[in-house]
Amino acid sequence: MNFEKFFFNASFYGIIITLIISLAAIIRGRPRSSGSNSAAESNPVSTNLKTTFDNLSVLDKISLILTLLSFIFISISIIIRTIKIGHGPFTSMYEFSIGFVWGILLMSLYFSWKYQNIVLNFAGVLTAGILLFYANTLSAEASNLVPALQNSLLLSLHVASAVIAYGAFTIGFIAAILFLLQRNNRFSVIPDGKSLEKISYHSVIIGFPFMTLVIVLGAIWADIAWGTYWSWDPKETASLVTWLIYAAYLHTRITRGWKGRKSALLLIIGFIAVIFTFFGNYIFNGLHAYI
Amino acid sequence: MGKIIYRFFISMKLTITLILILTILSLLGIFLPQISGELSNSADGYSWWLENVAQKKFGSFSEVLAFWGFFNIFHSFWFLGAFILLLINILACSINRFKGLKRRSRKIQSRKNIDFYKKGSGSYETKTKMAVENTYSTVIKILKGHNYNPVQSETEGSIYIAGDKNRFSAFGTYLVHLSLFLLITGILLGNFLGFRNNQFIVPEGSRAEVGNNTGLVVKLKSFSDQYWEDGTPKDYRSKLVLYENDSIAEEGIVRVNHPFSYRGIRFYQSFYGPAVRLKISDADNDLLFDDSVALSRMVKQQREGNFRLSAGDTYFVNLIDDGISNRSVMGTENSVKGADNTEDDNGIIVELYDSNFNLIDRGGIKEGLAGRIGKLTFILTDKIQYSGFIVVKDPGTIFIWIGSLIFLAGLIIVFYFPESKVWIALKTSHGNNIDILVKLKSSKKFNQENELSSLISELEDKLK
Repeated sequence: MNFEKFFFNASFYGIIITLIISLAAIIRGRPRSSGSNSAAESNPVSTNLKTTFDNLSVLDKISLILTLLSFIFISISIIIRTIKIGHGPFTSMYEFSIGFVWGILLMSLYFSWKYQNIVLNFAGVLTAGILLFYANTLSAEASNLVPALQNSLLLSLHVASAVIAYGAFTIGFIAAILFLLQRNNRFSVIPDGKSLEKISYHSVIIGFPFMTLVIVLGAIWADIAWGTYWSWDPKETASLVTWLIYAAYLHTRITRGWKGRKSALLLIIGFIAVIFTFFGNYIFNGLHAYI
Repeated sequence: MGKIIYRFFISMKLTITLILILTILSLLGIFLPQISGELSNSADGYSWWLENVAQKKFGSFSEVLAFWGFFNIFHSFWFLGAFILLLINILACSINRFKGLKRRSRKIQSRKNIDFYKKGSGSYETKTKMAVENTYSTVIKILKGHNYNPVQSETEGSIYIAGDKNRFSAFGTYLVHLSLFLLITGILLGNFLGFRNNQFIVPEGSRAEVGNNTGLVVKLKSFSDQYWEDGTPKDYRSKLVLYENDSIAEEGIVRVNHPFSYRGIRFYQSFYGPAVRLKISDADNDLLFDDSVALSRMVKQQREGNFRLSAGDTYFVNLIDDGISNRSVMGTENSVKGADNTEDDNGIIVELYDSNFNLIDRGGIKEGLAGRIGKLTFILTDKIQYSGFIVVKDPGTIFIWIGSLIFLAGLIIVFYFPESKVWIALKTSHGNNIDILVKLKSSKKFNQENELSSLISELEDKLK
């Protein structure tokens, strides 16, 4: 039996069921829950898993448990593949897509726990589901590693940092979209505008350091493999563009007080850059064109 | 005038604009073909590239793009100019902010003005019936539990407590920004004091000078390559001997991801290909040439190598291997799945030219057999391989790593250890109540609400 495929499928079906149940919870409607302690000021409160869980409806609880199970299943699938091929599974678009799904589910769970909102989880899981569906269309055959990729530690660290960064930026993108939809706080199931801005910022303060780490680890690896820490390779440059956009977001938010629509648009542009970088292997040649 | 220039350089609008310019230029660098460093450094190389790459894509418009530096955008005036302006901007902003940061990082003092506690965000009030000593010790314990360093003062009936944590974290942005200067130092040192050779080719059994005033000579003792079942390269490695002043300085093996290093000079295994061992004699059987030649150029699907031969007259010899061996791989960028060996893969074609590059004669010679080309006798002794290295000396690399580490440390400090200050006033009021007034300020408003909420929940819990 192909256990790797089994857990891949289990994760996929878990995502489908999660989406159905989340949708049911959303349609059923419930008062906005973003951890508000007072009517005047909504706060992201949860540092306590039990508190989060107690505050949720039955459907929301089932939805979160299923998200967690999907995350566990895809993690097991990745572990099995790692053992099978003998190195971190990050050397093909199939493997990288699965990694990206893992990153999105991880961040979706974290932000759902922190901000106690099922719409956020729904959107995160939906994005993960679309990506997992895309991964399923790709060849799952493990390719042999060319010598340049035979650095298992750096390969794993470099790409793992990327999937965490991309996962966080995905949540930021979702929060930005929800913010633009949530004019005048008209949808009670979506967090209010203020909470969505906090979620956006929170996602970037996770994603930006990891994105920086991606670039630094990539530079270290490039220096070990090719004797140069930077060569303006298209994928390197695309990562830098992504990094610059999020650097601009942080500067405009912290020092110019940019909030609201302008910040949300910047996050959307940033995520477009993430997708462009992710799919860059199809567009440009260069040192990353192994996959 | 000085003030205008200063205000211009400390402006955050300038920062955002420059980041935007660098982003757009980087995007152009992705979508427009960029000339490599080696070709751009020579006039011939640059012209060749413009004619054969740029003009084929952009026609006559390529001249305009070339003039404005769009084919070498990361070394263009626009990019370097924007980057330098950004560095000046960072420096100016850092100087401008220093006094404010120094003030912010001073040890906190308690505050007695009640209006301070009640106005603005970050405020909270509650009451307790606990005795004032117990309330005080509980508050101090809670503050210490949240990593605040409390100080206090007293007046009649009231105790004023203040605490701060991570008060130097604001300087984290300094670490982030000033590390960029370390990166620049590294880049400049590498460019001015280092060197790089991407095409250092040594055939098996031969020697080659490293050059660049190193005084080093490399001999390739042997080369071996391995392949996966599907023909893609699995491993290729070179056994090197390094000579300095004619004596052996170091020996070692170079593989991809395992460079060989000697006194700051690093050898990276980059590519490999076929080579031949050749003997050339003249009509009197005097040996003119006995060495290896790398067939390192790819011309119309054929491997070629050439060299100059001085034998009374000057000749140029061009060797062509017209059978693509399954050992021909141009390194990591363009890995080619090998074709099967051709039946005729044991010979080469020799072209002999005079000093004016007029073809004298052309013919094929088989391995182990002599062949007459012009008046010279060629013997193809052996078909071997060459190893292609990247040779680098970059004294700036250490600054890059230190700068990167400091940058990451700065980010972690700024985002995950934000500065926070809290003031708490304990005032006895009617009955046996103690009024507790709390004011919290954090450098990150995002953190302020979390921190306040966490303190409040513990105060409420322990002061019931």
